[in-house]
Amino acid sequence: MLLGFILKRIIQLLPLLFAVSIIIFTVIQLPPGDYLTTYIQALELSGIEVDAAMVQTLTREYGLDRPAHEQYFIWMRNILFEGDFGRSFQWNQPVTEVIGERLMMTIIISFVSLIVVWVIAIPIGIYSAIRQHSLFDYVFSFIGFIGMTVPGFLIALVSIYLIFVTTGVAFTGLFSTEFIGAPWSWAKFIDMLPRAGLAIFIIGMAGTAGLIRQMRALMLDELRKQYVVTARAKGVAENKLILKYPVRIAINPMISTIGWLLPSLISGEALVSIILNLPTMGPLMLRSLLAQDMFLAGSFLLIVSVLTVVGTLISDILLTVVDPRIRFGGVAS
Amino acid sequence: MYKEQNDIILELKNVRTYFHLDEGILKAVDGIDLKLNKEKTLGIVGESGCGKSVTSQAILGIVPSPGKVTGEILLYKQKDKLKNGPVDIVKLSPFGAEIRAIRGSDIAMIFQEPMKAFSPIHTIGNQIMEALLLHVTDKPKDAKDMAINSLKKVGIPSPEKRINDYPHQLSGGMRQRAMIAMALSCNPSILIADEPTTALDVTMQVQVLQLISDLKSEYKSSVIYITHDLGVIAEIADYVAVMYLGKVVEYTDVDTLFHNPLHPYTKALLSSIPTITKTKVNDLASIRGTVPYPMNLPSGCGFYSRCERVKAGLCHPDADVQLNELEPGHFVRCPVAEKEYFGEA
Amino acid sequence: MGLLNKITKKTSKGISNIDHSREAYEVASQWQLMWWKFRKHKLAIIAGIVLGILYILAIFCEFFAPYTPLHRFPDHKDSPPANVRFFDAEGNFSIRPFIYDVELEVDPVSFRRIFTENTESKHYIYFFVEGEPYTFWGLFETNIHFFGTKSADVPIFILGGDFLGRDLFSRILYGSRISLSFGFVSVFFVLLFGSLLGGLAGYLGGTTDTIIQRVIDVLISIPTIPLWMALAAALPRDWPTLNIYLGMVFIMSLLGWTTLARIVRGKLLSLREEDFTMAARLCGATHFRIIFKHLIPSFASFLIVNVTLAIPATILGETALSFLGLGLQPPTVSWGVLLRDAQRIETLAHQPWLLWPAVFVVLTVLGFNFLGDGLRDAADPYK
Repeated sequence: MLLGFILKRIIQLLPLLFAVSIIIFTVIQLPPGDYLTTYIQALELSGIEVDAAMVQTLTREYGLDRPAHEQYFIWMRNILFEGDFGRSFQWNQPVTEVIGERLMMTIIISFVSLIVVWVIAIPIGIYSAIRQHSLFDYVFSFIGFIGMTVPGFLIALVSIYLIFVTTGVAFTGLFSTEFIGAPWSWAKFIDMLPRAGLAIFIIGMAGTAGLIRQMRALMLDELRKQYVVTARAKGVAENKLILKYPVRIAINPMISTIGWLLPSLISGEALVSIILNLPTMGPLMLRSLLAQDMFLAGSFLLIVSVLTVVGTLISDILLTVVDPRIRFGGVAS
Repeated sequence: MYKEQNDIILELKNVRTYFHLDEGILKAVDGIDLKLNKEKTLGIVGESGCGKSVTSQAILGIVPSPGKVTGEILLYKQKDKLKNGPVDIVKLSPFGAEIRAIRGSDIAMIFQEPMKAFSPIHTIGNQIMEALLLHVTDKPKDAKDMAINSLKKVGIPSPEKRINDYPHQLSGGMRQRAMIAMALSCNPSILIADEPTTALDVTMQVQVLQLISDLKSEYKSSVIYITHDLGVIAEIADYVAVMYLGKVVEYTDVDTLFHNPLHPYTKALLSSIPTITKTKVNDLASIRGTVPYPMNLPSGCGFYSRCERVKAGLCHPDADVQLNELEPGHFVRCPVAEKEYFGEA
Repeated sequence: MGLLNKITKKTSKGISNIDHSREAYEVASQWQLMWWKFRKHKLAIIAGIVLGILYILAIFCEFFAPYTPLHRFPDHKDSPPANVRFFDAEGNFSIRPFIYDVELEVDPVSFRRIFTENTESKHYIYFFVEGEPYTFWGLFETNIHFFGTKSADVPIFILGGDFLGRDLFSRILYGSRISLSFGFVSVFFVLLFGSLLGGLAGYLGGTTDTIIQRVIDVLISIPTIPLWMALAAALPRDWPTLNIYLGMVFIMSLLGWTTLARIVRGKLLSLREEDFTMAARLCGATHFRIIFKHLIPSFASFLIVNVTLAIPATILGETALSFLGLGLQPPTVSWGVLLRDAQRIETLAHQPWLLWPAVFVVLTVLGFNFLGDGLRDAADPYK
């Protein structure tokens, strides 16, 4: 039953992914010229002669002389059937090699941020609703407000400045200078924690603030409802009834927020990681866009889009599992 | 008023519930005295905003903040009888263990809209068993059997199957019965029914009233029935309290109320009931004006602005009017009625 | 009713007073209620004032800025913010504020520039001073600036100077023209597309609805910032500023309309089923009239709030993209472009005043958000 639902949703998503890939391909092709022309121009500017034959070989190899839609099909076919994401012009390596570790980092940081955001935001949101108009409520509403409105990359910028000025340490990158390139060890892990922590904190801030507000609003709505009064009138203890009823019900729409939270985290992570110079996809993506490294940029966009869509799928599935109103039909009140 | 004084099961003395808001003091309940006897039904009748629901909330100790209850609400417990007399609910902490032991077990409540009163994501079995597991037993198996039994008592077919259903899977009528089952599952001595039939059509209304009546005799409980529908009151109440702006304005047994009402408000209410047997076709009678908002009310007769029988010299909107017993068992809060009854006709 | 009023007025002031003020509340129009409630929200009022000031500064930036954005003072490169004084080195007080000219020394060890104040060279600050000529909005030539020094060689850098000796404050003001207007222009298009497409989808339903919804689904599946980056990278670097500006507006609205469209669609879907819609239809109203006279006004306030809250997002988008080097390029000045100078940690460490554009960004964003919050509270006056 549930499996059928999952399969059905996945099948529904396929045309979506198809459309997304077409859009990405179009966007990548937009900049006038292509990498090859830019590359050749750059070479010529620095006085190097470019071999016409080499140009022809490269052109043919990457299908740059074929019409656009053929190029698209070649690209897709390579990805789907051979796992070949193309070749990065900048690094002169297969894209998979270039992205590999960075992709892993992005996914890890995004997921950890997601968990941190949830763990922090949900209890604060619940408590703010229960103790509405208390000092706690006002303080966290204000903090949340600031977190939501001041953009992550500015906070990142200011943080680096402050840390540098007070400690003299340039808090960029994920590791301090001694550990870069060193093999993984416990010490390296510990060294990474403060920087990773700062990154996750900044990336998660906007999401946390938003979630707190949402949870608080949902809880306030539910706390007013009749079934809460019924439970109280039966003699159920206050803490128990809050957790059993309004929290459980308010959590449902929150679960569907995972769907948009994950892509917004990935999106925000791109900017912040550029500033903090983290070894994730952000900085690399920027460089590839500036250099019109088509395969690399396109693959980036494709992968993050797929992650986004997967996130939506997961939250849809979770929502179905958790809310019996959807499972057994009937109207969600 | 009542022949057997030691038959009293619940007593309210000078109960007030004030909400201290930024805009002023909202006097939802402004000094009421009520008594409830064993196995009797007390009807509380009044327009919206007269304070009847807040009264029931005060009895259970679930008045939402910033409401404050003063006065005495004395419960003469029938289960685990205390040696030293009644419990004053006002004095109990609203979140404490004592009041929670009373809720659901000694006093239970049923509400107007059963769909909203149930949690949509828990089965009705779960919600009925919750009260049982709190007050009656701690064995889930026994609780389940009792829950099924309750459902059977209220006339729900195949209760063993229904117990695993979610509220939205039941029809409206069955939901109302399930709510009654949930309230009565722990055999409470007092059942407060807060407009349980207002949202139902007439045929279902009859069934539910009959059900409440049957269960009342079977469980030997007392009922406080809150409504604005005088027809229902005529059906089921033994005694009636008419409320207006947080005060009881008339209080007597049901027959006297309908045949010999003394307070102008009661009289106006009764005459505004449309009937189809009147030979003359009149305009529908109504009480002029609207119920004032109970914020920052001055003390005094609340009905002054709408009363047809205002008599200068007797009626002052600022002077407090007492609830006096004009004849045995018949209490009225109106100087004009008083004068008429005792003095000039 | 007249008799009743007479009685109540004569004998009870209390009851009639309550009724009258409540009556005034009950018959007040929707907009009047909103204004009353908005006034209570002090933060929103302050935000409104601050934003107003920022926009005035932007609109009249040529007047308020002491210098034009490209004007260099070669002797004052990387100069720190000027120390405006009222007391001089000997302790004399002067009502007119003044600054000391700074002298540049290069530290032989660290090669860092050190600026020391030259107490011999006093320069008073004058208001409505004559300075560089400029065209006011392209209409007429003038050279009156709001404030400045009378000498052409000694600048007053109230927020400091950049690596080419240009006044940061002037550049921020000129930049605010671009950054602040960007918000309004993009949001205009977002509002247009969003309400049009969302409205059509919600009101007509059926195939139109499905198509528009699928389009929205596809667009939101691609993470915003990477997509913005990709599209901005597609803008040719050598386009004239106006074209790049419009290109960025186009990019922002391309993705921004989806949220608004969804909201409008949702609202219209529910309002379509409301009794008042059916009543209007039964009276013979056309679809057009129903949408514009009945449905939209009922959530117009909601739209206003959404728009107010969408503006900071677009301003931030432009700032972020320009900051990364995509989008607007120097010599065009916007807050994002200005922040590019503050990117490197070494630069920041020695010239922290280069972060001032960030303060303006934050003020603007906070301002719009507080304003939007106040509007949102006020927009529900019946609560």
